[in-house]
Amino acid sequence: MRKSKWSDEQLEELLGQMPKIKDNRDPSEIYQNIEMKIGKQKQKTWILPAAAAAAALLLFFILAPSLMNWQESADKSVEIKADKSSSSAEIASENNTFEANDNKAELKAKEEIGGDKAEQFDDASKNNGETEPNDQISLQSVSADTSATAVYEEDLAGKEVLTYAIPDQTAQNIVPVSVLVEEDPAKSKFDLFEENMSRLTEEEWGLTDYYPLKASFSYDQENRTLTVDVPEDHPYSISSTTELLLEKVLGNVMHNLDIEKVNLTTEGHDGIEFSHFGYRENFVPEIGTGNLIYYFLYPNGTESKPFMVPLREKLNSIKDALRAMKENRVEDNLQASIPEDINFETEEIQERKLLIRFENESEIIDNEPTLHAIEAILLTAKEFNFETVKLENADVDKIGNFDLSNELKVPVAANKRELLN
Amino acid sequence: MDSVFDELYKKYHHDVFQFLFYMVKNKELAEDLVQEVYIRVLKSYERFEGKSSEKTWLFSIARNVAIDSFRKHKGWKQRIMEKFDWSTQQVKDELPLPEEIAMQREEIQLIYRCLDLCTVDQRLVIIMRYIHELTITETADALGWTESKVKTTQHRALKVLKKYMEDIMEKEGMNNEEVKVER
Repeated sequence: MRKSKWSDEQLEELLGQMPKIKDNRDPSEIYQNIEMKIGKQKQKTWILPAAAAAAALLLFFILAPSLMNWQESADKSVEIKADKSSSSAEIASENNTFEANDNKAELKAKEEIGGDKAEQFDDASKNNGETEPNDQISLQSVSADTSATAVYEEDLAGKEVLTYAIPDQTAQNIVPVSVLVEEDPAKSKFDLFEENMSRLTEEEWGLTDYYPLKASFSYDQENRTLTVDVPEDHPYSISSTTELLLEKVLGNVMHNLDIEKVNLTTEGHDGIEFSHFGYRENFVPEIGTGNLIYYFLYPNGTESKPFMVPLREKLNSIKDALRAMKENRVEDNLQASIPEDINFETEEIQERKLLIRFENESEIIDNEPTLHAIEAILLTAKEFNFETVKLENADVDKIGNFDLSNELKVPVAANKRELLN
Repeated sequence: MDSVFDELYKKYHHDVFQFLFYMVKNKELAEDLVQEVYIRVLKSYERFEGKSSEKTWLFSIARNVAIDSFRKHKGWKQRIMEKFDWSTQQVKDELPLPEEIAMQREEIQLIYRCLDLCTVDQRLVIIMRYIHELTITETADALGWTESKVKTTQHRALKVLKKYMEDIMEKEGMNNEEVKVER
């Protein structure tokens, strides 16, 4: 190795000779640049947090609705769980649609009856408006869902009434449901009955799917004898309840179609072997003692348009019957059909004519519960062989379609429902 | 114009600029950095306590700015370049010399080229001590070091600088003088 070329002192000297380097810019130019940079930096200091805040806000707005939805759906699921025991929202909505159908049917019926009726209705609503100017809500509800539930004479133009006995959801009660079908001269009432069995929508109505029966029918018009032929594996002997239900339903069918005797066969052979009732060849309905009185059944906890369910009670008079109708029948899952706070005097003014005079304290206004109470009274009156009922001393002249200034005719049948096409 | 800026400019601008230039060896970058020095100074001028002299205070700020600039520029780009391009070092060396340097003797040019082969600390000390002719105390003050650290770093720096210069002389055959001597 060579010796070092430079000593430290030489190097220090050389370094001291390093040229001076100058900034050739004008100081004002530099100052301007500095000022600009300081301004920019100041901007930057708020731009970045502002951008972050804006982004956070944006995120919040994007996420918030979905979060809220999530919570709502959670709430819903809780509600549904809570409802499960008593009723589900689905069935409630089904009931609504079926009610809407019914309203339509009501409208159709009105059109058929003609202008008279419609005029009356208009008058009535005017009257209501005058007498109850404050009660806007009840008026609205009147036009919305106050419609009679039973079949009345004016519904019958060219129609045949078919009444089906349908068990309710708990198979505790038999609900007589009536449907209107076009009259057909070529067919007997029994033919129509058999034909339309499959068109019933029991479950939609809040009842048990029971029709069509798992049996074939043949009807002997002359002897008024019905032969019910069930297959070997028929479902009616599963339990005593199913057997009892069949008995009740058949009894009802006989009553409605004026049948005297029912023969039971299994695949063409005489008799049906029931697991609880034993072997039976025919069925003769017991002639019940007492009268049918009507109560309300609200399927699935629905709150409007109840079914009118008859119960057979031994009662001395219509007066006792109407008093009994004020009480809930908890054991049968039925509700009182006359509100407790409605009081009245009953009087048989003529043969087959009933007079009901409401007490002054009783509030008889045009609303749904009152309408249904009147229908229940009319149906029960029918069972006591009355033909007309006159209601007096009500607060209004008209309730639903009932003109209270006239005598009201008892219904043809209870629980009118629409058939699906 | 700001009176503080005015005063600082008159007193120290060229010193600071030159210091930065020798640190980064790039006039344009030095121009930017000197502005950055002013910005930092103006922002913290009220905080200047007068513990140290204005001069050493400015040098310490300039030194921080230069080091920050190294970090920034030795950022992702250059690090990746260094990894993949082994010739970076040579390319850097062959950067055209600034006018002022090119006009100087070969030895001065050699020192200039070898400056950035030293570590940053060594370079800082060489520039402050020998180009700006700060005292050991001033240098220690500006760098926040003890005086003994300045002394050892300075000693080491001169040694390293000398060695690099000799190495390059040998490699490039800058031995005209030697040849002359032999003849």
